[in-house]
This record gives sequence, C-alpha cells and structure tokens, in this order.
Amino acid sequence: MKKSFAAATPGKGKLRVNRDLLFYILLLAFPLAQFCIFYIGVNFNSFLLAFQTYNTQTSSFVWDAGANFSQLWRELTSSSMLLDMLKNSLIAWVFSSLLGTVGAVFFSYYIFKKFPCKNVFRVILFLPSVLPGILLVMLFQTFGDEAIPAYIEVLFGTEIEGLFLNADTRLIMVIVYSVWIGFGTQVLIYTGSMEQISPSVTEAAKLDGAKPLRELWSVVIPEVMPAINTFLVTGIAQIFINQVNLWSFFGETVPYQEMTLGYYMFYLVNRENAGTKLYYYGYASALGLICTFIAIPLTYVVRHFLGKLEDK
Amino acid sequence: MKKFLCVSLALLLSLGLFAGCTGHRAEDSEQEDPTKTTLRVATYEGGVGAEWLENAAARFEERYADAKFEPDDPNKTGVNVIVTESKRYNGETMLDSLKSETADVFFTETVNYYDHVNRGNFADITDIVKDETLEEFGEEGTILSKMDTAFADYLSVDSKFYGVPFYEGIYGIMYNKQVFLNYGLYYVHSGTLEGDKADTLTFITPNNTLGETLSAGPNGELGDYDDGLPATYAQFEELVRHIREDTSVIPFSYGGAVREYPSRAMMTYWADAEGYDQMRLNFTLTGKATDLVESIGGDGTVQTYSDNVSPADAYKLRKQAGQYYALSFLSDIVLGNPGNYKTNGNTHLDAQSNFIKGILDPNAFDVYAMHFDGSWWENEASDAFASLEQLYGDAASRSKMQFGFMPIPKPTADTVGKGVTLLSQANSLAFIRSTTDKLDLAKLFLQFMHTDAELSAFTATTSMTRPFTYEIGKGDQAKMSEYAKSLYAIRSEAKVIHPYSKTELFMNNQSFFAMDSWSWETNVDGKRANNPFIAFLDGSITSAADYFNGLYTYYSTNWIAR
Repeated sequence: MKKSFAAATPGKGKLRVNRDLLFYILLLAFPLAQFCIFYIGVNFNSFLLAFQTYNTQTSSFVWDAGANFSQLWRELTSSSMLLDMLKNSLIAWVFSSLLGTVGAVFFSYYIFKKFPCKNVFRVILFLPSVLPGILLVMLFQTFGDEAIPAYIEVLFGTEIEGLFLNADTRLIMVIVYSVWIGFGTQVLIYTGSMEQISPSVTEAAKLDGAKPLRELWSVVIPEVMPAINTFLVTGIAQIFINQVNLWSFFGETVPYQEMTLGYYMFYLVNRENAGTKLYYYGYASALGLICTFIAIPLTYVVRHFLGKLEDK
Repeated sequence: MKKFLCVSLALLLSLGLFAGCTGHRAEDSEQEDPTKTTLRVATYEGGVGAEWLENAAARFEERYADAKFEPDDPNKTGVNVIVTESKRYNGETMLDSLKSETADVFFTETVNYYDHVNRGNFADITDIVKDETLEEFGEEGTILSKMDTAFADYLSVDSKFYGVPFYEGIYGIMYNKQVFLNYGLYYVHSGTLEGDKADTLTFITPNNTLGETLSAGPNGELGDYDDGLPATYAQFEELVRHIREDTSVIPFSYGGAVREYPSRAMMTYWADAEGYDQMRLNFTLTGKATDLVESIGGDGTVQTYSDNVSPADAYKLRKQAGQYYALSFLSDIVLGNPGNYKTNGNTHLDAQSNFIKGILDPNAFDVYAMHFDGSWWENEASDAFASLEQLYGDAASRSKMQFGFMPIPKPTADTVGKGVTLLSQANSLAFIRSTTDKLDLAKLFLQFMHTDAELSAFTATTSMTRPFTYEIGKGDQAKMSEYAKSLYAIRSEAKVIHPYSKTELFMNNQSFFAMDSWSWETNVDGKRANNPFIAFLDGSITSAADYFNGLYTYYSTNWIAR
C-alpha cells in the first residue's frame, strides 16, 4: 500500500516513508524505553543484587555470591517462616485466582444473560477498579472492625473483637477483600468475551433445551476459555508477588506466620526503623530469584495443561 | 438524565484524587521578601510539627533584622526564614533528591546518615559543631559540648561533622493523671521508703479525699514527679489488676495500626532494666556482659552469669536479663487478661484522640488509664486537643489536661532508686543541604537553633526533648504542659542511649543492628516472630520465657559476623 502511494507521488515518497517511520519510532520509543528501563533494567539489576550485599558504612553494594542464599538457606532450615509464607501465598492464590475466576465467570454470565439487577452487580463488582485502593481498604477495615462488631452487639448483645484485629478472622477478611477487588477486571473481560459469542450459538443451545447452567458449561465457558486461561496463567506469577493488600491494611505489623511471600519481600525493603532499606535489597532479590525459578516452569506446565484443556 | 448521572458519578469518583490534599499551605509557596535574604528551612510533617520551628524562625529574623547577609546587594537587610513542612522531607525519601531541594536547612527523621554523607548530600558543618563556640549567642561551649558522646562519635566521619541530632524519640507508656487521681490509682506511702517497695500497697481513695501521702515511686524518693506510681513490676501488675477489677477504667489502649509501639516501648524497659553500660554493649558489641540469663525459674526468677562478648559472638547479648524482664512485663499485661487492653482506634491519631477524651465524658466514652506511644504523642495529638477543646471547652485544652510519661518501674525491689536509663529510637537529624548557596547563613541558623534558649523553647513548645544537655528556662517552664514537665523530669535524671556505635561490624551492618532488627527476632521451635506484643496478643507465643529463649536461637543461627 505504502509502495503504491510512493509511486503515485514521485519525489515525495521518500519523505513520506521517513515521516511514517518517524511517527512509528516516536510512537514506540517511550513504551520501549520504559520497558527497557523498568522491566529489563530493573529485573537485571535485581538479578545482580541477589549476589551482592550492602555495606552501610560505605553505602555501596559489594559482591558476595553466597551470602544472601546462605541466609535464605539458614532461614529455611531453622524455621517454618518461609514455608508458612508460601502456604499463605498458595491459599491467597487458590482463593483470588482460582475461586475468584470461578466467581467472576458466574457473575459475568449473570450480567451477560441480563438477569435482574445486572447493572447493580456490574457497578458493585467494577467499583473497586475505579476507586482509590487505600480508600477501599479503609472502608473495608472500618466495616470489619467497627460496623460488624456493632451490628453483632446490637442484634445479639455479644461483644466481639474487630474482624481485622482478631487473629482468627484476619486472613479470611483479607482474602475476601482480595477476591472482591479482583472481580472488576475479570468481569469486564469475560462479559466482553461473552458478548462476542454468536447469538445463533446460544439460540441453538436454547432450542436444544439447554438450561442456563448447561449453556454456561457447554457453550459459554468454552468460548471464553482463552480469556480464562490468560488470567489463570498470569495468576501463577502472582503466587509469589501477591501481597493481598496486607501492607495497605496493616502496614508493617503483620506477624510472620500471616505474611505472604509477596508481602515479605515488600516488607523487607519498606519497613521503617530498620535502617537503610538498601541493606535488604540483596536478600529480597535472592528470595525473588528463587521464586522466579519456581514460577517459570510452573507457568509453562499450567499453560501446557490449560492449552490441552482448551483444545478439547 | 442518564448521562447526567454518569457524569455526576464520574466527577464524584474523581474526588478520590484529592484524598491526600490537606489544608496545609503549599510547599515553597510563601513569597520571598525582596528586601531580605531568604533562608528556607524544611521539616518533616509528623509528630514534632512545625510550630516550634516557625517560632524559632521568627526569633532569628528579629535578632538579625538589621544584619546584611548579602553585602553585594544593598537592597537586602535582615533575613526572611521560610519554614515548610512536608511528608516528603523524610531522610529516606530525599536520599537521591536532596541536592535539588530548595530548602537550605532540614530538621527531619528516618535519616540514614552515612548513606547521605557518602552521596555528598550534607554540607560539612564541622566548624560550627566542634570548633566555634556559641559566643555569638552568649554561650561559652560548642554544639559538640552539649551532645551525647556516643552519638557524636557516630556522627564524626574522619573527624568531620555533617549533621547534628534532632529530637529524642522515646517509646513508653503514657498515663492520664486525672484518671489516676479520680479513680484512685496512686499508691499510698507505706510509712517508710523501704516499705514502699513492697509488692502490695494500698491505693488512694478516689480523688484522694483523705489527702494521703503518695508512695515514693521508682526513684525511691518522696515528694517528686513519680510519687504514687508503681515502683516495681509487681506493683505495676497489681495496679493493672486493680484498674481492671475495681474500676470501670480500661488499663491500656493502643492503636491497631501501630502495634509495634508496645514492643518498642519494651525496648525502653529493657534498657532501663539493663542500665546504661550494659545496654550500650548492644551497639559497641564489645565488653563484659554481667547479667546474661542462665536459667529462668518457674516463678520467673532468673539466674545470671557474666561473659565477655565481641563482635564475633555478640549474639550472646540476646540472653540479657533486662530483655527477659521487659518481655515478662509485657506478657503480664497481654497474657494476663484480655480486659487489660483495648484497641481504641486504628491509626495512632485516632488512638491518641480516644485516649484523651475518655475522662472528659466518662459516660459516653471508654476511659483509659494508660496508652502505648512515643514521647512525641502529646504534640502529635495537637489537632485532637483542639477539636476536643471546641466541644468541651478550656478543660480539654492541652495546657489544662494532665498526662504523664509513666516512670519506668523496676524489675525487682532491690533495683528501685538505681537510676533511669532511656533509649531513643528517633533516627532523626538536622543538616544543611550541600548545594545551598547560603551556607554561612544556614550555619548561623543551625547554631542559633542549638543555643540553650532555643533547645529550651523546643521542649516547651513540643513537649519533647532534644539529645543535648540543656536546662529549661523559667519562662519556658511556665509554658510547659503537665506531660512535658513529667517527660522532662524523667529525662533530667536519666541517661539516654542513642543506638549507634563506631564498631566496625556495627558500621558495616547498621540495618542489621537497627533497633527493630536487633531486638525481637525470635525462633520458638521453628516458629518465627519479631514483635512480642503481637505474638502474645495473637497467642502464637504464650510465655515470656519461650520468646526470650527463641531470641538466642535466632540470633546465634543468623549472626551477621558468620
């Protein structure tokens, strides 16, 4: 197309091509630069940091290939801390990614089928995506710590501890919150995918006597499976970096046994009163590197498995 | 209509963008006075506030109203000090941006001194710290002569100074003096000073209607600031029981989002139980530890032994008896009875407000006797006092309400009256930006801020202390709140530890030895924790002895010198 245009306007073709090229370069330059600096650069630097320690007197990183990994090994062999965090990360993943996806598919189908109050659901589920995260956290925390105990007291005359203050209910509340705020994007994508399903297909299913659940299982889910797969595969990487909003809820006061790995790495380089944060970059990077080594093959395995499922 | 609703909703939701905006004036917005030399001074927007700095700036301007700081510019006479307050003036935040800031002088916190010095962020102020006396202001000594020697040693880089300490941040237990009096929570003098150390004493009648003499308190002397307050841990435990069982008052409050405060307060108790020299070992890492725990009896009594420690094995200090005592003190409160404490708000500000207002209307609010916080809390709660004053009148003003910094009780009766040791965990400094073009004026201002008069004014305005040797002037004493007087009284008879040293291992690993790291990390049968208050609260660790033994397990396994 471009060639024929150049041929039709002799003498100006070269200039036109160059201007197109310039536009193309300008269009991509910023995102590419951002990608190079904030993805490749940052991750490469993290990789190097895993083999360095920070000297606080000279304020410099020094090469020490094994120090951070030795510390990790000591931590792993002397306590259950990291395993507890891994367990919490997996629990968070099961609920936010797996059960969250199931819930999102159901809600999306509900909206897709235009069942009663569909718009109310759409707003409630998408609201977390447009409101500031910290505002939602404050609302949810006040709801859990003050409103619910007040209701319980009024209704049953029983005084209970705030749900975020109580160690037995804290993690449940955090996960409920994470699942809720995770719905927004998924519902938006799934309903969009469902809208693409040809009405003749759903009509045919209806004529064959398919009830809504059968239609969902046999018609809708296979059609939106690529979108679901994308969320599930990217969810694998989330296992190790998801801090399930713990920092927003509790700052740095989360006990080790309630931390996720994602929160722990964030906590290491963000807590106050622990001296310079640079000191912990090496250890956090080493932990991150190990998590990456687990996440990469796991992602491929899950993608392979889901691909096969999709082919069926 | 639908479109209108959509647009309205979108506008409403966009208001969230302004959630972080406050009523404070915009940074650097104050206009420069073209007839005066401008000096910009910045401070962190936190518990210390900026009122003290604005007052000091006004005095500095007045003092040098006729001085010429820019001889080349005949149109400028005097100085205009512009004070700005912001969250971004935080040492950690400004690490890579300080050189391009507009302010010349900073009073701020979370400053990792060597990170800044190595980046060349701070101006060399050796001359005004250790060479020049403050004779310009009528004083003979230097700033260095007023400074804690250990702190000064840490700040000295090849005999040069680039910063000076800012404020002391001492965590502890705050108490409401009005509650203590109204509900009869003070101890009555037994008749003898020795008798005042008994585990059980009687309490005064509410409002002390009988006019009884109060007991001697932890310093073992009658007639001073700590009278009637528990002298020993046993007395403290009995006090908490008395409050819980015999009154409608809740013994303790704390903020839900700042559950590190009670554990940090216990570091103060640990320091006091150890005493200055033994606690300093935690930073020098070298010397003879004289009270390492050999065994803990079923009744909590400890057998101790002595041992030399060096940087190679200073993890042995995690057997310090003082740390066990502090843990046992905390466990007695938390594990003793859930009725001993209550979260009275999520943020530290909410908790402070609720702690203050209980006594103003006991029928409407919970009344708390004590509260875990830092020494800056009263100043930080200025807005809460102002709001309550609008509702309850002058009685709710900061100057009328009566709070105190709880004098630290002693672990055992035989240590009553053996002096006070406090631990500052502030990590705050004052310094001059290295790229300032008004270095001489900035240095003059920094000198001015370290005169006795200004140090005294700082305490009178903020109810806080600075890590220098100074007396409070008579005029300032009259301005001090009850809380400020109480804090200053304790501070006056205490030795304050600043958590720094020049030991090589410490210097190279300052983050490992920062107080939140080199303190409460424990490993109890493979279960890790780093905050005893939360561990006891959640029930993940159920005894002080378990937590204590786990400290040695953790630090001996993960010792930094390995």
